Amino acid sequence: MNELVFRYRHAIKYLFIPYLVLLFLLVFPMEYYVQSPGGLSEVEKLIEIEYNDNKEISGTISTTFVMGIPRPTIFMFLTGYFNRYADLMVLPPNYQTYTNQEISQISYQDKFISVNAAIIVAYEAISSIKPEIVIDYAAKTMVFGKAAYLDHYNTIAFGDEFISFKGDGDVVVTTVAAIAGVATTEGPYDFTFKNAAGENYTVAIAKNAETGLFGVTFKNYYLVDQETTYPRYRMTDTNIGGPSGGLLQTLSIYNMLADEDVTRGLKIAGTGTINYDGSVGYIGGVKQKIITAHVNNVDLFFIPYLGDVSYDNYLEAVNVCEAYGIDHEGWLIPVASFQDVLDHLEGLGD
Amino acid sequence: MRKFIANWRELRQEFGIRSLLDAFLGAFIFGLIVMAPVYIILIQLLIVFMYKVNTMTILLIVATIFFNTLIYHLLKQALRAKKPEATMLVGKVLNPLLIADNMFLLVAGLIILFVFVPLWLV
Repeated sequence: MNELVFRYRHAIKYLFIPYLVLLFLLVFPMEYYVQSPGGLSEVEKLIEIEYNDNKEISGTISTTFVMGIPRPTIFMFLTGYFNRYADLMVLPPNYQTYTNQEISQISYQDKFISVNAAIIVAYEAISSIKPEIVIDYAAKTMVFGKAAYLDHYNTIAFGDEFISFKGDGDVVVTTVAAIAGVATTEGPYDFTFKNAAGENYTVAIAKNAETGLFGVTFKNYYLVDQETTYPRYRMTDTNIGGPSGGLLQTLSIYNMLADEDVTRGLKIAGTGTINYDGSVGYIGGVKQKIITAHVNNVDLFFIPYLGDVSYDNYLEAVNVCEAYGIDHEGWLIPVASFQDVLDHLEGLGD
Repeated sequence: MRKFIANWRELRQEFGIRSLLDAFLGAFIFGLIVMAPVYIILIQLLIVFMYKVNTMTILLIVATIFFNTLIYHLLKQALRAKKPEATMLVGKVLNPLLIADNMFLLVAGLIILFVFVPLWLV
């Protein structure tokens, strides 16, 4: 060891300060958000259904993910700056109070909700053709946001299920909407949650004096009951978060359940959230998703088009295609609902 | 193989196990100091250029092979500096080891590229 120190003593002496500067560039975080193209994720690898085992699917159905990088290092920021496909923005206000780990947790909750929604929509769509397919689900409410001033911040986790609230006069309510009517003072009031391990816990939370709010945000969603749903399915752990894969997840699940192969040998990708009524919702990162699909040579790309005159994902996508010289004719498919996707694929014939 | 084991015994006798370990530790630490920023840069580039994940993974494999080669290079230098009068050519033992290590790293890298990366992108 000492021999090497002696041999490289001059290099150590002169490169020590530049080395520290380089490390600073590589670790110092900036209050920005970098969004760059990501990749395709095949839904078949995410969700496995015990049904139609002998069915051969000739094409692929993938969701499109982008890389959202909260608080990039100076080096990543500069890299994003010189990457013509990346966008740089100030860290969104709703993310500023969260750590990067918490932002990821929120993103995974979004994904969890979107997969459940996709299963519900796909199973319901196919159950009209195949009555043996049964879907059962229940309304739930989860913790989806926490203000910095929230009491018991570290005890209450993202994704914990809201069970009940004990309000004025010990009145217990089980819906979030009813809380306001029975919480007229600053509190504290008892909230009961169920954590990821399935254990209930109760915490006393007071309203913040400045805002008059408890500091916890909830999200309603439907959770599929796996015991009573047929056929059974299994979801693998995912490294990709966010709700924007909903539409393509729905299509892939539908295709796993249907007798015919809707892919027709095509490499299908797209983006868009899925609502419980089968309608499609807007997403962010249109530019990066279009670039991702283009570099991965997909045959069809479905994108939300809700006919909004002021803004629309499809119109933005067309602008991106024109700006980057991508021919979108017959490739970029605007859709407003899951049925539009099925109709388009049906229209392609064999 | 028999010749390699004989060379290894000769090397051990020439330098002693303590000197060999000290030289290896020095080479590993020096190599790590050089390569740590390279790995951080490559991983950060991988995150920003995720749409070129295969290219970035290949760069990481190349960097790892380079890291291994650098360790062996520094190990040879440290051993020569420890005992300049040594009659044995350390390359006779270290070069076959370097080639074997790099082959192993290449195979492991290709497995990561073609098996684990696609699994990870779910």
